[in-house]
Amino acid sequence: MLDNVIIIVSVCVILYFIFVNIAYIILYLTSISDIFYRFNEIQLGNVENFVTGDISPPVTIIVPAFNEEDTIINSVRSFLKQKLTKCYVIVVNDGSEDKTMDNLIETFALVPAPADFPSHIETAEIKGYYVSQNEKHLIVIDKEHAGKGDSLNVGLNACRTPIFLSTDSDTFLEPESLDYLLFSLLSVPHTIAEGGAVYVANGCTIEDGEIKEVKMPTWYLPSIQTVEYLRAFLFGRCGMKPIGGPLILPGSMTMFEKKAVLDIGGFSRYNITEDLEIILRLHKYMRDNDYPYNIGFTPSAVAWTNVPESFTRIWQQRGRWHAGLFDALLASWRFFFNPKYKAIGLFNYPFYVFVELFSTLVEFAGYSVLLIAMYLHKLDWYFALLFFLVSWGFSTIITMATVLISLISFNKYKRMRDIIKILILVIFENLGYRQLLVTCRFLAMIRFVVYRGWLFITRQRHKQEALDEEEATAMHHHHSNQSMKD
Amino acid sequence: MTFDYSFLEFFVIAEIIIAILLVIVTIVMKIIYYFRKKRKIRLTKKADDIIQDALIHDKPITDNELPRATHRMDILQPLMEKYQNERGWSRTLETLSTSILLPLARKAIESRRWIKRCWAVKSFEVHREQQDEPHLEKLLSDKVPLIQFHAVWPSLQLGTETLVNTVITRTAEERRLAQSIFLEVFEQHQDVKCDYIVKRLNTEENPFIRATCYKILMIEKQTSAFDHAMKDTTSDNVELQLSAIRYVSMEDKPQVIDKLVGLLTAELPETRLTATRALGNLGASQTLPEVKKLLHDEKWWVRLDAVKTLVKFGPEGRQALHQIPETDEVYQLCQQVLGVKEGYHAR
Repeated sequence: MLDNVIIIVSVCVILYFIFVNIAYIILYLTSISDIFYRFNEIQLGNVENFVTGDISPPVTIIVPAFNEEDTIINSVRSFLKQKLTKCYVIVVNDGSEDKTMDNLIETFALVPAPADFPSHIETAEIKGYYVSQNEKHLIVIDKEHAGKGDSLNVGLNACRTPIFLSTDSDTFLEPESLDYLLFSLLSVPHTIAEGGAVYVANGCTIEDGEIKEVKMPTWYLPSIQTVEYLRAFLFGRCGMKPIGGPLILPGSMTMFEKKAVLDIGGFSRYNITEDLEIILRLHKYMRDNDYPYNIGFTPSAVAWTNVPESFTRIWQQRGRWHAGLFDALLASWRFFFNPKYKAIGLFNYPFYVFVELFSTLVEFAGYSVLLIAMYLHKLDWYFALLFFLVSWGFSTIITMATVLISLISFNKYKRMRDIIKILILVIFENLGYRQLLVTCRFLAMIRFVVYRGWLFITRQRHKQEALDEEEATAMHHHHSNQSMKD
Repeated sequence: MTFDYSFLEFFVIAEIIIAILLVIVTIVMKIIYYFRKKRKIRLTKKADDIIQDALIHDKPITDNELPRATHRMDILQPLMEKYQNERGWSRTLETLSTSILLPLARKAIESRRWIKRCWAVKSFEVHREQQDEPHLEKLLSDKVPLIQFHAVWPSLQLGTETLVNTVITRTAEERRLAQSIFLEVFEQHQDVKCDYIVKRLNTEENPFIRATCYKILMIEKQTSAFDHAMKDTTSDNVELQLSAIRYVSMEDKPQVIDKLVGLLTAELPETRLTATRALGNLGASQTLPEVKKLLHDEKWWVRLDAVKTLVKFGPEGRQALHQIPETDEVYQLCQQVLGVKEGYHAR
């Protein structure tokens, strides 16, 4: 009996594995053409020629900041150093408890000014509005703590340009990043959002907001995340582009058309992965109203960000991301195999549900069955080894192919030792790190389901109590009316 | 229950072969890209040398002088932009454009690759001829925004009535992003044929196109459509009304001041705001009592602009703001505006 259960689970895992890998191959094939198309544009097209001068539209960079005293000054400097001449920066201090605000006031000589912007979207209370005396394109808004989504909404209210970039306060932009993003945004009709690639800044030499030297981090955790980021951005986002557009664009490097975001009521204040949630809502709004639109991604525009260096922080971050993914996907369940939403409903959304969300469950089940079979001495070691080699080999090939595409095209790591290090990490990413993430995501899902369940039960109870109370009040009124009549 | 998994062995072998192939393809691609890049640099340098030589000796460049391989818009157009301001350039430019660049650009307009059409429009930015009117008209209606934007400049440079009218229509049709870019081009362009715009105002009934005409005339600082605009200040279309208010306020005439004062009590807050701003820009301090009433407007942004307008009225306006008692709800706002403005003046 147990043998049969183990075989059935194994067959299910293999079928799932085949399904996932077919999806990966489709994504990989669709991403290759786009990457090389973009690369050709950049290498042979002199992009800066097309977006400079009179036709360069003004852009606002919105930077939410919460407890970022160490990185905020360098980041803001990198934003102010953009080649794009009509570039404005709005930093929104989200009630930081450290010296973020003090550092900003001191470095950029900020003075208070009247908050001169309308409230298109409701936000938390604004405590202060500051203009800089030495950087005329910089504005800082101080507000009560209410999360990243709320801070972005404050920036959106204050933004006066038709295009804005949402980013993070621990992110650094390359001087031509906005040029490339704008070029992509303006090269496809009706583009409402365009994302750029994000690379790992840990290990790089950064001076005065500029990346002086690109180096791989020395520590294991940030190094492995370098490989992860390469795969996620070059392969995942680019691959989705020709089939309905990506569902996730990086929170630290996405350019939006302001009107489109205002039309859907701004960023969500409640979802912790507001970058995924906003793109899902944009897709939904545009499709529901039958508006022509495009959501794109360009690997040529680059941002650098600091990633967690400790196990505790990465555990928290990935758990949060996975719960946010679950929450956002649950909120847009109407996409699920819905032909009305075309490729988004029929491929992209199910891909995220089955591959990004449920892969954790399947993998966790696979590892559990493996351990149980080992414990009960029912494990066919030759099968286990073969299966491990196939699955490990396949994910290694996908990552390796992405890294090699990166090396051919937008190669950021020039040092031979970094390239060799990346290729070695590609092979060892699946040993230990992957299992750590699976466990972290699985627990985050359990926590999320329990929390949502508890929330549902509490709401039902409150509803019932309110109904009981209403009934009791009605009865009381009825009795008092009756007694008055009597 | 048995399960035959021997097929997995085949997968392992296939994966090893794919990995090796991937490495080989990468190396080959890297080499191809390296040589393509090198070739473009070499060709650009060659063309650059020939153009420089022609400039030094002040001689035209003929079709045969430049090697066939350099007859590419992405090589020649940046070079032409580079030398555009050099002495003696016009003769070299004319021959180079008419014999090589413009024929390439005209051909590229029909291309399905948008990047080629983009290079074509960039080439028209450097030089264009009367016969390019239909080409530019087509580019102004291209589906790629970047191409439309780049087509505005050469269209205005050529300045035919058809092209100016097409640009006006396109500007009025577009959403805010494109409209601001179109208007920005007008701002950089000094010699727009404003007669065509005034002529259009005589017959045009579409309020959005009329509003666009005022916006352009304002940029060009042309007040020849003043009478039209005075009538449009009472239009039902908000965009037209606001554009007309901004336009008439370019003229410091008594009837304008009277009109603006009348609009300070308009129903729409946007109208009140624009009229206040216009009075501030005119420095019409004689309207101080009327503007002061807006300090207690129901909309905070109208109140804010009323404060700013009073600051613009100079010492008189500032005095009025300083006299506002601390108990007044607008006191804090006045102090903040005064603080920033006076801080800036001190600097």
